[in-house]
Parts: sequence; structure tokens; C-alpha cells
Amino acid sequence: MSRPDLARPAKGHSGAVGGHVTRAVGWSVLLLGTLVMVFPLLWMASVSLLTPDLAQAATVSGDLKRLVPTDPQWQNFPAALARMGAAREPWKGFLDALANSVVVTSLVVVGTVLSSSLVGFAMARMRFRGRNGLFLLMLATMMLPGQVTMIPMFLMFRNLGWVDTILPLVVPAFFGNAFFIFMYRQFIAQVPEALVEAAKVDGWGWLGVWWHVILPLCRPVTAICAVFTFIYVWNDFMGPLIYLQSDEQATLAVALNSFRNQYGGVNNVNLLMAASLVTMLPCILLFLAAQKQFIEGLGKGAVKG
Amino acid sequence: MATIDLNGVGKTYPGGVQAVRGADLRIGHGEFVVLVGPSGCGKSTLLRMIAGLETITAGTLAIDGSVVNDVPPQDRDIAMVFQNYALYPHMDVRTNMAFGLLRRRKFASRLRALLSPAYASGRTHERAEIDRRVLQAARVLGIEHLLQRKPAALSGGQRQRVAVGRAMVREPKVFLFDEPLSNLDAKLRVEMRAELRMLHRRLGATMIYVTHDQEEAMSLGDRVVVLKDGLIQQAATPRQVYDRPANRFVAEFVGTPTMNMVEGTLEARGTGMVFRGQGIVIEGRVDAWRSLIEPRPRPVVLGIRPEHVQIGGGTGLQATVEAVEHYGDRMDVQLRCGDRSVTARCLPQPLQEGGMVNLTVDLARTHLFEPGNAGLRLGE
Repeated sequence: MSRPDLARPAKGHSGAVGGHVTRAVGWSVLLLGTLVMVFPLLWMASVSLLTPDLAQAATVSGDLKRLVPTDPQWQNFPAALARMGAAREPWKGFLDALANSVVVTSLVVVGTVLSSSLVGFAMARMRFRGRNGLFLLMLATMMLPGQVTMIPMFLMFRNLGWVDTILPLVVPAFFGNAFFIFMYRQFIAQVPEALVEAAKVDGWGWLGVWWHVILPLCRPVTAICAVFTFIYVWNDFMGPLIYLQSDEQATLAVALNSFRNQYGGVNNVNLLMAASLVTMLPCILLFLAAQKQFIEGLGKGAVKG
Repeated sequence: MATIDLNGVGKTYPGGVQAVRGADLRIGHGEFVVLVGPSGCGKSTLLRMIAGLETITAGTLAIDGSVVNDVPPQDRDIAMVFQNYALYPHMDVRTNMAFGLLRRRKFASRLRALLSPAYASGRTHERAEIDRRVLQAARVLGIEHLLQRKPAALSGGQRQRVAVGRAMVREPKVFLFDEPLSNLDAKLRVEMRAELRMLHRRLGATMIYVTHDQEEAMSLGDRVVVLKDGLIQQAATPRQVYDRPANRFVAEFVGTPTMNMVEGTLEARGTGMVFRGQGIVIEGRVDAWRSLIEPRPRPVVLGIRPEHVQIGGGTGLQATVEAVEHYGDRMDVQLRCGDRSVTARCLPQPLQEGGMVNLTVDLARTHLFEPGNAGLRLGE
């Protein structure tokens, strides 16, 4: 014999309708927010595929109908990239800048992940006098705006003879990043102590434990660290502008700025957008590729940190 | 195999808490020693000090005659099985087991391997040896079919076997076990206990095992070390610990149900002696206690194991049956005798709760302790 469910009141027709309405309003707000965020990207992609005249008209008039590329001008991309940089030879400026960006970004990502995880591990697991004081001091450096240290650091690197090399952009990454050290420390503090002890009893020293046990377990944090660092360094304009003076050393962000100075008028807005789109493409692709790890990592950081 | 010598080993934490105090113990080659005691008695701390995971603040610890107080765990040639197994979650079972053997394959040696074909062949040989050891251990533990799995895909019992296997492949001087069975269900725990005992017999290695379960300690150890408040209370064979407990704490800690403790006095009567206390009077003759007899009744605590309280047969003590617990092959009976309750363990027999019975206690099978906190054993 079945018993009526007394605890739960029966849902009436009006309740179901109310739920649908609430959900529809929620979805609408989210959709609107998404459109606002995505619109500049769509606009850039669209303009990059227009002819110069149509691009100019769409830009000046603001007529959204003209933004739909009926006849996509794919040749805008090679045309823009071939003209990038100060080199006489077509494509050389773009390829140089791309290579410089890839080298700098890769080294900084590797350096930041290795050094931040290593310091985070030490802060979380090694017991030594003054550990908490050092950790607080390190956190305090996060409060300093980058502009404060810009001039002293430039003078230091100039005295070392590192100006117009990638060293000032890359070497600091191998000394850790306060924010990522904090993230790694919080994450590693949640890893069971017994794993570290087991590895030590298994014969591994601190470095071995870090490399073989801790770093693989920190994959979600490493994904966040790598993606954030990649996006920041790939798009960084100020650092390369200050330290890299010759055109051969320029990164994509600097080369794009030169391109804007050269072809930044409304006449060439389609080419500028094509160059911009190519420049930011790796960041979008990386985010999409690492999306799962990234979101998971943010969640874990929130819960465990 | 190895010997372990603890001479006055102590551990005081920065806050001043003394976890272990002046531990003196010698563990022989191939011995299976179990450290047992209630929570917070310092047994795990002592084990971790032997492993090198805790610093030693007093005394010396020697493995095979060499003092290792300042030797890090990785250089002590020991293996440890942790309470929660501590399997590396990102490695499969094979790599988990081989992990301790891979530690010397450093970058420099790999580089040399690339440059020297003879060296490379030596390394290949080494790799084959690691595989052989892992397979052998897996076969012994019956986990060959699990080698490709990650720890998350294993049951508690399987994880426990992998953890033991990881220790086995190292072929270390000393095996340390930190309550490795406490996360298993009762049936599996009994099975694994027997397997560990067989493993010890097969390997003949020196093993130190920590548990809070006195039954586990008694069934596993060649020797049992009972700890309380950081102090070793007694280190002896399970039989000795049970039959001749060094003090009141050991007597009460070891054995289920707990030993009955009756406070009273001992005095001479004729050629024998009599114990009186809390409404209980027991007469008898124990030669070893003769020296304890004083002109005036001497205050003592009498310990009676529940299985030495016989129901029926005698006329000396009368008791009321308060509760009966049946276990099939035996029964525990809670009795009210004099001013206190006494537990008896006996074969199944028809007893009515609330009914009266006669009890017999053979004084020669009882234990005598000093009154007070230390409660040292008397009459040796």
C-alpha cells in the first residue's frame, strides 16, 4: 500500500510556470552578459574579414548590419602579417616577433611553474625558522604595484647589461611569483603529509618528492598558473617595450603596436583587426584546450585554498 | 635484517609536551615487535622517530649499531606502511611499488647511460631486476592482476596489500607498520593479520608494528611493548604480558574483558593467606606472596582475569547475575559480588539474570599489585 508523501506539497501549475519564468529571466541575463563580453571579439573577427571600404564604413557608421561579412576577405590575414614589423622583407617582422613571443612566454611559463611550485612546497611542507615571517613578507610584495619597482629594476638590469635581451623578461620568472606561490602553498598544504613522508621513506630527498609526487598532484594549480602566466606574458606590452629596444627582439605585442602606429587609420582597420586576431588567437586556443583543468583548478583553489 | 637499539630515546615538542620519555628497548634481528597502547601514548611518535620522520630530542637510536639520530629517513634503509597507505594517487600500482627502487636513477646517470652502451645495458638489467622484484612481491600478495590500476580503483584491502608490497620490494633492513589494518573491516583485518604473520616468517625481517588494538598486538608480535603517557610499561612476549603484567595499567589494558581489580588487604591465615576487600574474601596459599605478608593487613589490589572466575562449584563467594552476553562458544557474565561488580567468562550454561550463583576464585591464578597510580606487580 503506498503512502501519500506528506512532507512534500504537490506542485501546482502556477509553481511550474513561476519556475520556468525565473529560469528564462536568468538565462536572458546570462545571455545578455555573454553578448556584451563577446561582442568586441566578434566585431574584431568580422571587421578582419571585410574589404577596406566596408570595414571603414562599418567602423565609422557603427551600422551593425554591415558587420556581417558576405564576401569574407581571407587574404586580409596574410596581407596584415606580411607587413608587420619594421623589416623590409615581408613576413620577417611577424615571424621574428612570433618566435620572440614563443620563446619568452615558454620560458616564463616554465620558470614560473617550477619556481612557484618549489617555493610553495617549501612553504607548505618544510619546517624552518622564520617560515611564516618569510611567507608574510612574500605576500606583502603582492601589495606593491608593478610601477613602483619598474625604475629600480630597469636600473638593475641595465647595470647587469641585460637591456635589449630577453633576460630581464625571463630570469625573474625563475624566482617565483608571489600569487602563484600562495596558490601552490595552499594546495600543497591539503596534500596528505603521509605522501611526502612515504616518498622520503622510499628514499627520495626533498627535490625528488617535489618533482615526482607534489608537482604531478598539483596539476589543477599548474594549469591555472600556466594559463594565467601565458596570457599575461603573451599580451604583456610594457615589459618588452622597456627592455627590448631593437626591432629584431620585439614580441608580438610590441610588433602589433608598431603595426597600429603604421597602419592604424580607418583605411586599414581590417588589417589591424586581422593582425590583432592572430595575435590573440593562441590565448583563446590555450584557454579552450585547458578549460576543463582551468575551471577545475579554480574550483579546487576556492575550496581548498 | 637489523637490530635496533633505543637508549633513553625521548621526544619533547616545542610547546614542552613530552610524547616519549626515556625509551630503552633492544629489538633483535628478525624480531616482530608490536608497540601498543591507548591513543596519545606515544607509540606512533616512537615509530616515526625510528623512521626518521620525527626528530629525537633525547637519547640515541642505533640501527645495526650505528647511531642514526641525525640520518634522514631516505638514508636509513627502512620501509614503512602508513595507516592510510599513502599510495601515490597519480601512479599505477606497478610504479607505486617500484618507486622506492627508482630513486637512484638520477639525471646524471641517465646521461651516462646515453653515452656508454655498457652502462646502458647495466641500467636495462637494473630495470629488469626492478620488474622482477615487483612481480615477485605482487605474486606473493596476490595483486598481480592489479598492477596497471591506479590506487583510486582499488578496495581498502587491495590498497593495503599494495602498501605492503611497496615496502617488500625495497628489501629494507627494517619494516615499520603504523596501524595498517585500522581502516579495514573486522573480517579482512583478521585475514590480513594472519598474512602479515606469514609474511614475517617468510621474509624473516625485523618488523615494528604499531597498533592500539591489544588483540592485534598479542596475535602478531614476538614481543609486545605496552606504552602509556610516553613511557614503556612493559616489553615482553604476549604470554608474559598476559600472564605476568608488570603493573596495573598493563593488566587492565591487555585482555578482553578487562581484568577485575579489587582493592583490599592481604594478611596471613594459618599456613596460607586471605584477601579481603569490597565485600570479597578469598583464601588460599601462594608461596611467592609469603614475603609480602606483614604483621598488619597489607593494602593491595587483587587482579582477577574474568576466565579465572569460576561460576558454581564452590561455596566461598555468592554473587547475583546482573547481565549475560552470549558469544556462542563462550559467555561473559556480569556479576554483583560484595560491593562491586565482577566479570566472569565461562562456557555456555543456563544462567538467569537476577539469580544467585556461587563463585570460586583460585588465589594462585590471581595477580597482586601495589595500591596507587603506578600499581606495580607484587610477589615475584
